[in-house]
Amino acid sequence: MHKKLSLLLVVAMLLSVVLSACAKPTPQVVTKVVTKEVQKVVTKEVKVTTVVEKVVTKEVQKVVTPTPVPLKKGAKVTITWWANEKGRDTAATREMHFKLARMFEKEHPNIKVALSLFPSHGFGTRVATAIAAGQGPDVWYHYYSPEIATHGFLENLTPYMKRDGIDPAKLWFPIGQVRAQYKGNYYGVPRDVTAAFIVYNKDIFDAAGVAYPKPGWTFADYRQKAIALTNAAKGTYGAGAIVGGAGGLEWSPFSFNLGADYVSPDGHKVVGYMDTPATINAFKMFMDLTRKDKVTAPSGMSEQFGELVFLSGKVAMQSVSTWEIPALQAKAKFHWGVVEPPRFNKDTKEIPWTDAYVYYMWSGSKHKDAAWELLKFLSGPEAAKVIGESKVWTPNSPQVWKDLGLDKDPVWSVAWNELQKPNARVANYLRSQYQWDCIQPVFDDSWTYYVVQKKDDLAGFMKKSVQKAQACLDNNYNQ
Amino acid sequence: MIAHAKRSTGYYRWRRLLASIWKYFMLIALALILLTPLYWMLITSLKTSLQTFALPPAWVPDPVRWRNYIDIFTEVPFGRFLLNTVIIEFWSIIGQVSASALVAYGFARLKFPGRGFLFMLLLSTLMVPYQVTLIPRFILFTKLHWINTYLPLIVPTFTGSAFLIFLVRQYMMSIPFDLDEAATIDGANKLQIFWHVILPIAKPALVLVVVFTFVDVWNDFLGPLIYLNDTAKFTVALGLNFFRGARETSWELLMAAATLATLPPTIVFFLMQKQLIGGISSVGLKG
Repeated sequence: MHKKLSLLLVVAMLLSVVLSACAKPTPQVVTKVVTKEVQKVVTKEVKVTTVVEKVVTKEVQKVVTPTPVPLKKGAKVTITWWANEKGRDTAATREMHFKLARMFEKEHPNIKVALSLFPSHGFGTRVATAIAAGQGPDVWYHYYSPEIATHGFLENLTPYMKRDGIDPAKLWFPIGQVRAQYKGNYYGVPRDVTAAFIVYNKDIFDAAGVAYPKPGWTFADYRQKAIALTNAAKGTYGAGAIVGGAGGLEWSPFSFNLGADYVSPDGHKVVGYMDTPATINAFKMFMDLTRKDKVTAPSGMSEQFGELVFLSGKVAMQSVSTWEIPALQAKAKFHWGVVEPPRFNKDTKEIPWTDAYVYYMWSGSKHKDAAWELLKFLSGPEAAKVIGESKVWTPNSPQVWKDLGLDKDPVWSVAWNELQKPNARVANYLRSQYQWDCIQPVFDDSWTYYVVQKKDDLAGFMKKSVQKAQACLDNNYNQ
Repeated sequence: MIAHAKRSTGYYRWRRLLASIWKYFMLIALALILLTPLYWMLITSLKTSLQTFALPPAWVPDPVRWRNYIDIFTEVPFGRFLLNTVIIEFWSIIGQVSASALVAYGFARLKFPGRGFLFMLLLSTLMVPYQVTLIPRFILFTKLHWINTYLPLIVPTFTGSAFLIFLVRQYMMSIPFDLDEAATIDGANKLQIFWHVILPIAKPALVLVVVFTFVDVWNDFLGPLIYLNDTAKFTVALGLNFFRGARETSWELLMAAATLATLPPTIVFFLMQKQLIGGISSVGLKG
């Protein structure tokens, strides 16, 4: 009996040793994330995604052995569509997703859509893990850099589009087309579009006796107005909260307009882009709003990146995008207006900051034709209308904008004009998949050097930092 | 002389009183500092979205928006998330307690060849980062058809956790072996010794296992995120993150949900406070 029990216990212990690696580690995995500020969390999130995606590159070759099953008449298939919540209006967001799924199912009775909605944080990790394990979703959307196509887990949709006579130019805004392509091939279809512009508090302008900004205004105008509108004693600030590079050149419409195209179009080079006098000067001008002019709202206000800082009623001007319009319209308790972003000077043209989320199909999908049907529906005008009416996102189709009257709307028309401007290009921060590992630190470090530590040799500092960033990019791309 | 003694007694009484006042003042001040984030969470949960970042900050919400506590249940199925988490908690605690106690008993009280090596092997699994086993585990559970079920979250707990086994083993090591010998003389076998002698004495350590497991499962974000697909099966930790988007966060709803999510662990802590403190002091570990 004793021997048997001892043997049992030893077996239990051996099992425990082997399987304890499978058990969850003891306390404290996630609680740290909750307390960090939003922008930091976003950065970390993308880092994690990148790490897991590195695994994907290797695993996809081994694990995924796609066997596309053509969609036969009468054959019923279930495809998975993974999506994520936006953090606000979650019920409306969920309702819109399910409405789209049910509409599609009604039109395609032989295809069932298994829709899963995840929190936005961790979504990239969820997708990457599933793909690496050979269990990826058939369809999902994300904001990958276009060069993510090189990893091999995205289906090239160009043949499908040619087969079905899809003309992207007729369907989608230019930025939607640009964001979904890599080296001339479509690896996705646009989910929506967005454009950035400046929103301003008319009450603060009126109280200070400052004229409202007008189209064609310059960065010098912006700066002068911000100075005139700042009254630290009253707690009003000329410009919205700006933290480091993330709140400055990277995310805002200032990115292109100050001439700071800081990374090459293919995302591989920062030397010759980020260390040029134009970029350094642009970044310095931007940081001087905080360091010298002291017109920016305190960094603590940027906790809620975007609209709420402006909604506090203490910020005179803020760069926002179409994503924030519904919240502005619903919640602003003061008079406000919108205007196109300022250009560098009167001789330069304004270059729009526009962007889009993109729907993808997993290259390992077993029901590619069915997944394509869903993609076609989700990126088509019918879905765009539902999306536009729900105000969860901004429709990807110019025709739907017109149908909904957004092109004539006093607020939305500013975004409409931005989306019409030529030379739509991928935002700087989305060009390299190693942005967060290699390029972002240059902005953060430069901010600390110039604004926090108040040191003056910004050009020298940035040149050194850019060399490090380039070495980091070379190291990653040459792996 | 007597007058001097009286003066001295009075002096010392005053000194003790002042020391007491100072002590309580410091304790209250520290408690206030520690409670400030909780207070902030609570008042933010009662604010409107505009008030959350109002300057200067409002320390008392005006108006008080109780509706946030209703909205968290209409915006997401938060009640369902709570129930799901409780189900996972229940089975995880059973799994961790039984596995930790049994395996720790083997390591602490039984002598067999390779015990030290096995124990070191067990401890070495503590150094394997969670992320390293993420994809292999996902593949394993996929092949078992366990994805979108609670099994990947519950079953591994029945194999114990290296840290918790170590914790209980340390406690069991401190129990005198005379008790085992006495029970053996009385005719008890190993399992009876474990059940009737060691387990009751190891209760404080097992309470620690319960509390650690409870908090671990309650806060686990990555596990449910990776293994669950249906929103109806999601847990509190995932539910809280529904209020946090890539660009937008509903702070007032997030804080209302966080306030509710904080209640169960707090209740568990208060219910088990006595045993927990006893367990910590006897095992010599802090969570």
